[in-house]
Amino acid sequence: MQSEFWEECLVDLQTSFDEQQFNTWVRPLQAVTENNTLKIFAPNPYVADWANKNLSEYLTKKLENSKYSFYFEVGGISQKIEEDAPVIQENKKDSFKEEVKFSSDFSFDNFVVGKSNQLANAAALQVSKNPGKNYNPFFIYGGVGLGKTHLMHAIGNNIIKQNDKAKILYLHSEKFVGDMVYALQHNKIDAFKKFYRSADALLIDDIQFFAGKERSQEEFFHTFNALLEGKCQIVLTCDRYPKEVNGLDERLKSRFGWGLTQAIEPPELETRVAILQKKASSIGTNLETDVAFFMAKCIQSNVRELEGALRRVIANSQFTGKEITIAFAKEALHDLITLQNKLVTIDNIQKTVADYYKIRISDLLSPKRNRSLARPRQLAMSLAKELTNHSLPEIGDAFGGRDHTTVLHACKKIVEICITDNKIKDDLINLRRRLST
Amino acid sequence: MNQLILPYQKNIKHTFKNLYSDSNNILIDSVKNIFLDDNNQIYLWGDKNLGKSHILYAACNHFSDIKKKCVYLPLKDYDLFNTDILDGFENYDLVCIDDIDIIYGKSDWEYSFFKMLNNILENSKKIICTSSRSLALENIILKDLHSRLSWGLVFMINQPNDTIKENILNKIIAEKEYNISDDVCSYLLKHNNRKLSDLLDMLHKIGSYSLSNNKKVHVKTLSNIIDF
Repeated sequence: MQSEFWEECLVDLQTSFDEQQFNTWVRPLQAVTENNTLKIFAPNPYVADWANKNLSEYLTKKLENSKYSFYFEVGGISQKIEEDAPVIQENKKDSFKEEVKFSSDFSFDNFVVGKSNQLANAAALQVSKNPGKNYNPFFIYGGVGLGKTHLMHAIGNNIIKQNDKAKILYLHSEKFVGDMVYALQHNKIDAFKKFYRSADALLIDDIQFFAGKERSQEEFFHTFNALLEGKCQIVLTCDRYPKEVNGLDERLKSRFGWGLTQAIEPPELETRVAILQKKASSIGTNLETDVAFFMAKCIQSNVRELEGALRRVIANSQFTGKEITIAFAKEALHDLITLQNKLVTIDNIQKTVADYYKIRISDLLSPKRNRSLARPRQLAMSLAKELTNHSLPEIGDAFGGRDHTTVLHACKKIVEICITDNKIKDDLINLRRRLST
Repeated sequence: MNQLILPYQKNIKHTFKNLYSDSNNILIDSVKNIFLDDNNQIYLWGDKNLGKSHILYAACNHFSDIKKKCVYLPLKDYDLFNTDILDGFENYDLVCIDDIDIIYGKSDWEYSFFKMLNNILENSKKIICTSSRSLALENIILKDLHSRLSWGLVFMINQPNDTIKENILNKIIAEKEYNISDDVCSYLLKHNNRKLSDLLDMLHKIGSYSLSNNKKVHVKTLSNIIDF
């Protein structure tokens, strides 16, 4: 419980400082009285230092005729509900175990599968059914907000479902680095090794953050080997293909490729629609298909942004009591849509495609029909149809005055080619990503 | 001779009640209900002087009253600290970050903020950030940070209507004790750029003139003080 005396001080101090100072420096302080001492905790040394300089005089005067003394310390207070007794907590932990977080919210059941992620999903499911066997390590890579972390947690949840005693460790790579630094500083490296090497499955997110951290990579390398030898499952995610991560030890890059490496691509329109509808239904909202299509067309970059937009539409609907229609979603996402339209223009598409294929914009607009120009032109027209609200005749006009049937043909052609030509398919995905992030 | 104007700041407690708002009710309701919602983050963006800091102060005041641990950090002052200032914030129930856009493009700050944000979200704590621009326009180096910030509720703060703007101007005149005639505010709204930040800049200029010259400013004397 916060000291009553401190509550009294806060009332005084609120009138002595302006709101910015009060909220930044005074509000975060927490106090507890113990053995005639007022212990005042600050979240970090900065705040403690400021408080010491600016509040000591006030507190000395305030406690002048009492038996109490005071001091400032970095830390905090947590409440034991059942005892009503304050418990002092240090910001740094003593055991690595305490801070390992593993979420049960992400499962295979609530992962929406589409063309962009079906292989990764199938492989993840296999890994979770046979941990430590065929696909070890399992490496998932792809852009931000596409579901890598979701799959990682789903693997962990499935392993636990089959063996509730399994020790699954999920952590962000930065946490591994932080723990190791802490272990080195506090002479606890043996405890660190023992803890991480005793896992049945180690799931590390965003390993690109290992880049440039040589000592952590070295330690991770040994942990990795120990776990692999012990047939423990390792799952890693990264924002790019392992060989493309600069600043990562070559030995690690090579080991990451020993098991199975699987990409997740940005979801296509139908998958985005399914994600929106599933998410809406999970929070008790019915999202009509036409509205879901409208939103999915507007937001193409990643799933997080899509979920953010859905949250906004639902919040607007809850607070106004209005039904979610296309017009309502358009109004709720007005600023986002306006900006999106400004960002993805035909000009921008032409420039991006020309840069990508190292050709001139004038070539895209010219009547030349050789394949090295025709294919990028068809891709650009197809992207203009997909990413902008321009009509086919407008798109045709913007590409050197071509007929709208030419645009239509280009769109169909690109769909057909993508089925058989992986190179063009990859180009389309890359261009879409460049244009929508 | 001009009078010297002493720096004078009235310490007014910012609350949701004394925030002038007309078209921003949904975002205010979302902030007020942040502890009732599964969503843990709100991102508010808009032009200066639209009440972003006011909302954060009001949130700190409101939630502290119901025993939530709150902390506020104005990042416009980021050069006064280093990134360690963010340490320990994940243990607070509500973290309010003002002017987050100041640190975009600064990789060490982005990375430290990203770590803090991950910890806050993992611990199901709440965070409200303000920025002057939409996330879609921000040049954030760390793509993960960009995508995580887009995950929560994102609101644009709208410009208030003219009646609200006039009320705001009159309230400031009263608070700062400017000696300005009643018709000046409506005149400014009719004859000038109606952007609130510009109106406020102009009002402070007129107000300072009235105090330093110890003279009441009327519409007919406005042209001596500001250019239209």
